[in-house]
Amino acid sequence: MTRSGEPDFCARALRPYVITRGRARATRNTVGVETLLIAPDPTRELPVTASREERALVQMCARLISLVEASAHLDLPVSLVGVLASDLIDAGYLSARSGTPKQAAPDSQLLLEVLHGLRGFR
Amino acid sequence: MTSPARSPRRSPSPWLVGALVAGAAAWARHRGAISWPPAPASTFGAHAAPALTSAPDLSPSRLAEIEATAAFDRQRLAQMQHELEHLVKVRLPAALAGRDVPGARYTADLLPEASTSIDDLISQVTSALVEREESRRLALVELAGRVQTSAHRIQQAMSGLAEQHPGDPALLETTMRVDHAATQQARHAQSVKVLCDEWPGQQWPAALALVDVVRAASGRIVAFSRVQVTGDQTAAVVPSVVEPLIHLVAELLANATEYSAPSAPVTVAVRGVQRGAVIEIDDSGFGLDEYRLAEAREIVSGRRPLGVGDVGEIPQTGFAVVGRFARRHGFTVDLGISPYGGVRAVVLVPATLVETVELPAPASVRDPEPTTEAALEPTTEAAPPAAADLIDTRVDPPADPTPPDGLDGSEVRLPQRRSARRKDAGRPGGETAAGRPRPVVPSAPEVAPEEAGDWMERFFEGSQPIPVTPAAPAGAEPAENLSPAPTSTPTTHDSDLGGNVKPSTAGKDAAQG
Repeated sequence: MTRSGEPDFCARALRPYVITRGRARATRNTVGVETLLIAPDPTRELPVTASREERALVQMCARLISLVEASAHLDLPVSLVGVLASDLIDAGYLSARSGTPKQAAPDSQLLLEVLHGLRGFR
Repeated sequence: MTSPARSPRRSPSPWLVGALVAGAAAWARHRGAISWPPAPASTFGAHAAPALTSAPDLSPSRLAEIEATAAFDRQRLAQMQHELEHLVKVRLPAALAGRDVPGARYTADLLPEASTSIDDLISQVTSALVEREESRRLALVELAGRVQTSAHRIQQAMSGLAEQHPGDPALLETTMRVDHAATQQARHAQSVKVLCDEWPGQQWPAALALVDVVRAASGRIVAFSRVQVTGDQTAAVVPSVVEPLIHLVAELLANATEYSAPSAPVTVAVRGVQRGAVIEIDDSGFGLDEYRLAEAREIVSGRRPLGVGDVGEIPQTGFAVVGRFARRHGFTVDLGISPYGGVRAVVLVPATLVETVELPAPASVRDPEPTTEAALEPTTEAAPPAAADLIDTRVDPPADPTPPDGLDGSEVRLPQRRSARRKDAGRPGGETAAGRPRPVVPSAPEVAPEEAGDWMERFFEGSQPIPVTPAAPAGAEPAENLSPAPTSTPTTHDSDLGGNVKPSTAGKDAAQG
């Protein structure tokens, strides 16, 4: 049925504007590719209208995961996942952070060692 | 070369033939049964001719004979006229409409030649019509295919553009608009193809969840943001019917959004049932009256297939397309009155076409308890951090007047890195080079996604929450210093790094930070 001249177009069935409900801008300008996401309460039920991507994202964020990794798992462009993640952060289903729990923070000596180790790569 | 050139039409136009026959019939009616000019010489006058030429013999018996012959001819003419009327009023319209052509009514009384001629006419009209229809269909399919292909090219170009400029929301927004328009264009083109009995060639590689089928369908209509999908997240359809079902649902959604208030949502529920899975689409418009509802139900169920020639001047293609897909793929589609006042469309996907899909997720979404974390960080408490203790950008971090020593120390000391560089700017980096450890880096494949996340977490651990809120003012500066991540090999083993390097030697490389 497909004619030979037709380009082999195999985009995803779900268009980007459907995934973000028409928005191109994240509600938070602080969510970047390196932002770490975690679901404070992964068992909390999402609204019934939540999309599969949103559900999967929250499920993934049961463990700390960076935005760029999450988008790789979702097989979606980072910019789209940023929009979704921002919504979920706004709604309280996700937390964005680039730090660690306070009590889990290592001592400064360790940090310095890491720092020097990194410099040692040069 | 690719498409065989069609030979020019040889058979006469059906309209011309019809007009000729109609004219002949009218003429015959006008002249009445009295005379049929060419007849005396050829067919009809066969009996009368000898009588007329031998005029002198006018005996009563002869007159009676002539009278009988004339009566016979008159009757035959009347039959011919009736037959022509039948041809013009019944048989030709049927042939032109593509229906089954009823047989001749007076074959017994007609001359065989006349009867054959009429049948020839009918078959010529029919074949000319079929040929013309087919050629028109092929032309439409071809043109629709070109439109669809170009729409897909636009979509492809837009996807590429969006990927090339990921950080530009304005551009992303524009690509979305263009993509949306192109998607609708592709749908309309595909509708034309379907009405022309040509089926979508596009195949999706994997099963698609029904909720995503509905969302994909919503992307093909204007008011996609009004569609609200709820329900079973795991019921899916097999790849072979993904495209037909998307298109079918898109047409139902288009109908639902067009015939309800522009602000009203269109709610769609997906649920698994014993016989497969059901998609229910409710709109809150005015609905259809009884007659039109009955008609629409005939069409969407596929019981009355409509082609591209049947959809009318203002084409109501939606239901016709739905019906064609339903008929072809075995979906059961029905319409009814929605509790919201509008129309409820119900699509039953048979169980043979339904399967189950899971949410996309990392290969192993493990228990939230970070088991590796405890091993790597002796200072970490065994229990996973409670949600409230996480540093959150949404709310102020819980007041913590006495932060752990480590964190405090890092906050105080890390800025020294910059000052250290300033102080020791002139020093050569010999010691750094001497102290360079060769860290044992775990090979990349062993790192699960979650571990990579852990690594990133650890990488940023000196930094502080993103300062969305005025909270944690002290954290802002260290975050500034540490967050721009230099490219380096991930490692999860802190102890592998050179721990014996003096802080004061760290100096000159801070430029990368």
